[in-house]
Parts: sequence; C-alpha cells; structure tokens
Amino acid sequence: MQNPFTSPAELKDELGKVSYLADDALSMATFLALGLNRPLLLEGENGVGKTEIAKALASLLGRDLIRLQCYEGIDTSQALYDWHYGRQLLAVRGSENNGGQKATDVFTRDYLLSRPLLEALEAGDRAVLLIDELDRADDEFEAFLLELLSDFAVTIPEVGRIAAASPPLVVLTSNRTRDLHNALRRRCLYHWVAHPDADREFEILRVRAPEVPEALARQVAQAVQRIRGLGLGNAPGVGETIDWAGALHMVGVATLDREIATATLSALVKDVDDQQLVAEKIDDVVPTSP
Amino acid sequence: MIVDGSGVRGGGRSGDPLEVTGRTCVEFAALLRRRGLVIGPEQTTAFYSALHLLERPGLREIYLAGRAVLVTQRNQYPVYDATFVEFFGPPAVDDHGLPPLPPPAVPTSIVEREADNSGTPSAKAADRVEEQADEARLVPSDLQVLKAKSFALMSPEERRKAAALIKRLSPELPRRRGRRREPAASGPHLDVRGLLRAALPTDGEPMRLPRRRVPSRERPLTLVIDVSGSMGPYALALLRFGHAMLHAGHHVEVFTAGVHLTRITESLRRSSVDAALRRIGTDVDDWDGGTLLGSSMRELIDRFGAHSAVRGALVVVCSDGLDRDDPETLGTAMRNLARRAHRVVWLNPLKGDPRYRPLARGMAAALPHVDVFLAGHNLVSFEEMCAALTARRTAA
Repeated sequence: MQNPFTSPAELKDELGKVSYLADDALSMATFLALGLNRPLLLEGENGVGKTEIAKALASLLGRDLIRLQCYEGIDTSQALYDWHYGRQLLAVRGSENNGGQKATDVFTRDYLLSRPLLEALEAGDRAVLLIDELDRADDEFEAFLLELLSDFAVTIPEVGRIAAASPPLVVLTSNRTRDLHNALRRRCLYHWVAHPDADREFEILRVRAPEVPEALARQVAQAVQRIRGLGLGNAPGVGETIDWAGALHMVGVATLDREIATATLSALVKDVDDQQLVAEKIDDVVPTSP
Repeated sequence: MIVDGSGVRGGGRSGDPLEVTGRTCVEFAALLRRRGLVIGPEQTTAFYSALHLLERPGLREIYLAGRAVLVTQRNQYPVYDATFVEFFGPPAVDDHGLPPLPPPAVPTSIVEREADNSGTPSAKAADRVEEQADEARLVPSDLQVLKAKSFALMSPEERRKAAALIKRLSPELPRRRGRRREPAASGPHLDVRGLLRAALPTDGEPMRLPRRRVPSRERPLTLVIDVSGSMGPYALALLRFGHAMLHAGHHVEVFTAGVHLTRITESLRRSSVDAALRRIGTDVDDWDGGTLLGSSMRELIDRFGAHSAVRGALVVVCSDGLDRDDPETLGTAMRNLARRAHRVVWLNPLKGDPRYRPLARGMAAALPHVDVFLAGHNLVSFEEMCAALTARRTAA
C-alpha cells in the first residue's frame, strides 16, 4: 500500500481536517505506521483519545473501520473465525439422506464465518483495524495475535494460511491493566498518548465543540488542566472536558465561575471522592480574576 | 560510543538535515542496548527504513521516528531521551510527565551483606546440598524455636535454615472464575466444534457430546515491601517468600516502598534467590533511607490502580508503619487499595511484641482499610499470613 502522505506534517494537517488534533510525536508514529506497514500501539490513560485516532484515520483515508473490542476470555471463535456448525451438520446429514455423494469436506471457506480479524485481512488496505483495549484480553489471545501483526496473515488449521493481499492499517490500544508481552510490543510502533496541555485542549474544544464561546473554552481548558494537577484518582479525559464545556454552554453561562463549576462538576469528574476534592480546591481551580 | 563526523554528517543542529547511515542506526541501537533497552534487529532495520521515509529529516524528526520505532514502553522514554542526546546532540525533547533518570544506584547494604554470606559462586553448589542437610538436622524442638525466632535476631546459619522453610510455605492462593472456555471431560457447556468433529465419522450423528468448562484462575499475589533501615531482615524474608512463590509459577508482583515505589518483579525472576537479591540491591536505590510510605502507596494506586497487580489481587504490605508522610496520604491510598484489591494483609514486625499498639499515626490511618493485620516477624507469623491468603473471604 502506498502511503498517501509525504510527511508527518502533512498527515497532521489532514488529521486536523477530520477534527483530530494530533501532536508531532503521534503524527510521526502514525506516518511511520502507514509507511512501514507496522501496527501502531497506543497506550495512555483513559479518555485521552486513543480510540478516536483510529476513527479519524479511517475517515481520513476513506476506509472501513473494523473494531475488535477485547475482553477477558475472547478467543479465536469470537475474534478471528468460526465454523457455521449448523450448516456443516446439515450438509453432512443432508447428503447422506439424499443418497447422493457424501459431503466429505465441510471444513472449507464456504462454511467459514469471518470475525473482525479475518474480515480485516480480507479487506486489506480498504480497512483500518482497531484492536481496542488489548490489555483486557488474556495472554493466550495476545500470543495468537503475533502472527497476524507481523505477517498480516493467520493460519486456520483446516484451511491453511490466509494472508492479506495488502496489509490493513492496525491500531492497538491498551490501558495497561496488564503488561503486554515484549514480543508484541516489538512488532509495533509505540506511542504514549498523554493528556493534552491547556493550549492544545483549547484547540480541541474549538474543533470538537464549536458552539462553545472562545472565552469559555479557554477557561474550561485551563480549569481542567489545574484539576488534573490535583492528583485525582481518575483524572478527567478529553471527552469529559468536551462534555463539561457543552454542559456549561447548555446552562447558558458565558464565563466560568466557582458556583457553576461546582454545580456542573458531574459532567467532568466521575468519582465522589474526586468530586469532593475538586470542590474543596475550587478556589485554586477557578481563580477569581479571569 | 559517541559518533561524531563519521556517522552523522552535516553536523548541524536543529534546522539542518542530517545524513544518517545504516551504520549510525546500528550504533545508536547498540548504545541503547547498553543503556538497558531491549531492541531487536528488526527494530533497527525499521528505524533505518523510517528515516528513509522522511525526506531530509532534522534532528527532531529523527528523535520522534526513533522513539516510535525503538521504544516499546512509556517508562523507557527517559532512557531513550538521555541516550539520544548523548548520541546525536540535544533535540527538542518532549516532556513525558515522567521523572528524569535517577542517579546510578549505589549497591548497598543489607542485600549485599546477606547475599554475600551465602551467595559466592563457589559456595553455591555446596549450598544446595547443605540446605537439605540443614533441614534434616532440625529436630522438632529446634524447629519450634527457629520458627518462633524473630528474623532480626537470627544468626546467618539460622537465616539459611529459615530461608529453606520459607521456600516450602507455598500457600494455595484463592481462585476466581475465569472467562475462557476450554474443552474438558465434563462441564456445563457444549463443545460444538468438538461435537461436529466427533460426528463426522458417523455421518453427522453425534454419538457423544463433548463438553467445555470455564477453568478458574488464580488471583495474583502482590507484595509491597518497606525497605527502610529497620525493616531489613523482615523485608529480606518476605522477598525470599516472593521469590519462592514466583518460581512456583504463581502470578506474583513485588514492589519495594522507600522514598519511592520500585517494581522489582523482573529482578526476582532470576532462578538463584541470592543472585536475585543482589540484583535488587542495585536496582533499589533507597534501601535504608527513610520511608515515604504514603507517597509510595499512592504511586502504587496511580500507576497500577487498574492493573492486575492491584485490582482483584491479594496484596501484602510489609511495613512498620513509621511514615514520614502525612498520615492522611497513607489513609487515602490504603482506602483506594482496599477497594480495588481482593484482600489486603498488613505485616508489621513491631506487632511481634505483645505490648505493641498501632499508635504510629500512619499505621493508625492505614489499619481501618486492612483485612488482616499480622506481625510477619517470624516463621510462625508467615504461616499465619499464608493461612490468611488462602482463607475464603468470609473467614478472613
């Protein structure tokens, strides 16, 4: 597959056009993922936009997004392929009853059900494959991904090896609830997605919530920055910042004050201890003079 | 090795494009390896290809490209940054929100002293034989005495005997329901795939119904060990326990808490316990320092709060509770820990003294969030700990 972009800077600009503001490091990692045909592994706190990047890339490249949400116990029959047992059984029984020749082989592509990973291989470079929250799957599943990620192929024992004609763009995300194996990491390009700083978060707000007035958006971005500095159990993510700005706009305020900030905190901080902490320190979060 | 004109031509800083040869890539990767990163040859190749994708890359581009290809974990960013500056000169390095590299650790103290007693290479083979002999020599009454003796008061020989006993503790850890289904001789779920296979020779008539079941999974065990000066002997005993459990195939994570939190699980993977302890002596730079227990526990929650090392795990904290932090920090961290972990056991060697009362402010703040509070100062108490780990929740 040809990399449609000539430089990371161009990719960054293009991502901006589909409302995703990437920083230099992320656009570099993504540019290389496209150019080197390597999977992109994104780690970071909750809510920093790891999943969004895959969606943005899919819409930017005009490809289908194929998403595999991982969870504990996920296995090949849910992620890769399964056999259509009912049809297989009918085929075997049916051919016997009709007195015709026996259906000797029911383990062919005809009876194969594609699951997200196989779908992505078949779609090749018409797809962006998002393997979301890989850390939630167990080690066994991770091991099985290795062949897929290095060769863009899978081996189904009964059918043989199925390889992608042209590799899809693969994005993996992890919240680090478990350590991923180094064998998997080394096959990928790695990027740690951090919370954006106040300026970038302000720009994100302008793009993602354009109805919020500029002054309010700036205050929100700065307040969120200070709230993250308080050391909460769960720091608010970008999505929550957008929600909060939207909530403030909805109740019709033009500037952020302490009272309204405390009242709408439920849109931003989703833990009662954290809410108390923010409420206690609200004087630091929302300074008197704007 | 610092490459000057031969590898990086143009010699320019930021603006000027640099010509980076394959040789430069190899040498940079080699330097990173010497600084402790694990880098495969395919990553070096990818780094070289990456630089070719970029037209006339500047230092900043080389920095970012190398970071995406050669680094595989966030905690490697500081090492990468430092090595990059050493090799190529200073680009605009990003702020990762990670502390800069700590100064090189000075191997010190307790671990060294203890490990050197028994761990010299020539003594190793003899050790193993002696270990068995040690156990054989213990008559029951001696055993009782040894078991009741505090780790701090043991002679080197007694310590060695105790180490052998610790190795044999091997408690059974509680299990939880897994999610993955496996083919099994019997079980509640039908194995459709197996059924079809089995039915093929009989023209699709299933003659037996293969089953699947959901095997249970063992809960992880996490040890958080205070390594301040007074805790030395107890910390070592618990490290030996951690090492034994790890090598018995359990899912174990070990952290030390001192001025900050250090994850030492990887160092413990060495098969020889003495080599492992020596390694930890060099990894952990705050042995014998004071304890910032509250901050360390908070760091555990911040960094591993959602990790399997904490969530749903059995957590053993070993500390005397003498904390230089604000007790409130420890109290909050312990409350968060208790919410996430399956069970929290606190070992405080001071409790070995019957007159002890948990009055230290840190200890008092932590206690309401602890499921089981034990001494952990001798082998008898270690056995109690094992019982507490094994017990079902209702009994704990």
